[in-house]
Amino acid sequence: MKCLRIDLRRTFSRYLNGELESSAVRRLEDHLIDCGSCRTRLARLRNGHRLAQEMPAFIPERDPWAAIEAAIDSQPDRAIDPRPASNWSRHFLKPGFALAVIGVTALIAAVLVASAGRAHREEPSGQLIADALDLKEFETVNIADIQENLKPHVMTEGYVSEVRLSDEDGDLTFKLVDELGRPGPFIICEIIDPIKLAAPSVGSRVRVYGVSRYDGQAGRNWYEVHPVLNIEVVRR
Amino acid sequence: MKVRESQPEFEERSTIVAAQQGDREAFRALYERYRDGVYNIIFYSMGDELRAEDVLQIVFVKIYRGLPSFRFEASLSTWIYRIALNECLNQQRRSGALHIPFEALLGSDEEFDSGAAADRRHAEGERREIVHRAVMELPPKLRAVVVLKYLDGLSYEEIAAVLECSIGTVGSRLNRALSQLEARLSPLRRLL
Repeated sequence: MKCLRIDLRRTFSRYLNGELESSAVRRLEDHLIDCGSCRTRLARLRNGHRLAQEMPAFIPERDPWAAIEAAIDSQPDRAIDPRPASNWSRHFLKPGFALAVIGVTALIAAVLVASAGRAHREEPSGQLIADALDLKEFETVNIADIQENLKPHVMTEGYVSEVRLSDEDGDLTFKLVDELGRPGPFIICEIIDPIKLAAPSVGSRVRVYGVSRYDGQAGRNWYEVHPVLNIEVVRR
Repeated sequence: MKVRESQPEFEERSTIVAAQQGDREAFRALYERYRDGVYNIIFYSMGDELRAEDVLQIVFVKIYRGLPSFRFEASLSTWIYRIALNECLNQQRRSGALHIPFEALLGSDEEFDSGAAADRRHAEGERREIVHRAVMELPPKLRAVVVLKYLDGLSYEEIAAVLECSIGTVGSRLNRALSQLEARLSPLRRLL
């Protein structure tokens, strides 16, 4: 049977490298007792891990220090760069989306501060987020009406028709529809780090709380709830 | 051999400040500390020794030029590796990365006849080369995390800082990389 514990599988490489905190190790090892699928997958990764440990390191045949010095000496004296050295200034946000992201960031920060007092207890961050949210502030939006929505924080309800794990960045994405098995309007919902929520199962009916946005990239052009802040399962 | 494990620990900050003020010996100390680690990431990105040496030179000249602007907002290693990876990307956009197909390494079955009396060092060299080539077959983003983790010994947090992504993303990419390495090399188990 296919295992849907994507949240645990994402920790496999950290587990193999001994960089997983002990509580997470226990959680993973408890799961492995009962899950043959994950045991098989972990065994393959362990083989890959052993192979990666044998990667040869290389050193340059010729030390280029002399060439580096010559290049430095041939250039005019370097001046102190008055611009900020940080790369973060390159990552600016469009104003409309920026407000929503600032709001989400403040919310997440508040949750992290609140969680500092509960550090000794294992508590999924999804629950912490849910506790911190005032769900009444989320605008209820039907999937078919999402394009009319102007509010940044929305709640929408529908059936989960697909669940995917991004190869690129490891983020979890699921598709929310009004009716399973029929073409029609949909909303793409994205769970991103550091918000850890359990993936909803395909076919379940869920309420999704999060930030509304439109993805206009080529090949996409769809509405999203991104990031997802909370998921309530209405019917499994 | 992990490059970072072979370097003695020393307080960097005063060395960085001295280098920022033009102390050539201080800059050379930083160069000696990071050269091999940076070379690994460049070599595995470019795939060619000569090009990698050229890029290494360019990277350290850029580091020297940019050092006065370094504000200690990130660790020096994060900053340096990021410069190296960006330069590799620039070079690849200009001229493309050299790629030798993995299959080109395998040759005919007779070369790898397990009955042959192969010299032990030669066999180990071939093994390393097989693993090296398999890593070169990984997509660039997966290859980068593998090199930063398994050769340069960076932590997940440090790799995330270098690549400007989340720790979860680093974990996911490593999972994918290890899975692909295993899939790539498992048919060659008898050789490894």
